[in-house]
Amino acid sequence: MDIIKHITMGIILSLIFYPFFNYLVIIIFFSSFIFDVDHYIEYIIRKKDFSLLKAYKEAQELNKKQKTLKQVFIIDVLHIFHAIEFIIILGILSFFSKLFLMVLIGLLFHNLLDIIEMAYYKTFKSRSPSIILWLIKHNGEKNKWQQRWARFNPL
Amino acid sequence: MKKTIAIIIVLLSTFLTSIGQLFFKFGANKLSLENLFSNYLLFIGLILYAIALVIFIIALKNNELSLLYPLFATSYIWVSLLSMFFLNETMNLLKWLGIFLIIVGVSFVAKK
Repeated sequence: MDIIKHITMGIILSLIFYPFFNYLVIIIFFSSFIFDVDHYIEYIIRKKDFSLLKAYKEAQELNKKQKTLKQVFIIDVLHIFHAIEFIIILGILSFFSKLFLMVLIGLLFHNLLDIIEMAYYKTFKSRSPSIILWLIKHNGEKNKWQQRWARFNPL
Repeated sequence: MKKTIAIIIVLLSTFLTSIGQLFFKFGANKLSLENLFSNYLLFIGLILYAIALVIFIIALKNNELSLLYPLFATSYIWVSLLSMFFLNETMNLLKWLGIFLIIVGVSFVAKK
């Protein structure tokens, strides 16, 4: 989902939680969109380019195309902060600290929004749900996922 | 901590209810007599509603009904925003004002 939408929803969620958690809602707000940084990390690894603007533009283009055609162009991309393992680790940590609980709320909210969008546009295959699963699948085929990306070049 | 968890669960429940509504709309757009029972979008909506209800009941164990039930009003906010994002429905100033007032109302209920 577009980061602007995540930020809008994050603001609303933080406002709703404000009476209960006071200033801690700042963490909920930031964690409701900051984890999209893994898209940027993935872009850097793939393109060896640090341009945030180009990464954003490419993501926008890809999103637009997938939504319009309701078709997946890139499959099984690994976004580490969206993976189930990361959520489980945060879930465990949230038993020990309220700060992690706030982060978990923001991340779960973020993921729920992504899931609705993927369900609506039928693009579930575009993202790998698990780091372990991704490693098993792509073990020994080092550049195959990069080749898949190469087929789609919006810029 | 249990009370906090109850609040979080209720807000999750409201969000699931809203997603359920969204799926009802998706399903309704494709609704006809022939596909009434094979319309999976409607069933997803129903399942989400059922999950939301179950977790709401779980939350009720650990906090007051007079606090938790008004939180359900936040589902109106989620439905408005999700409709804007997924159904391209427009938000005007009055709708935003409504959302703002719901947030204020929920804050008043939450503050003891």
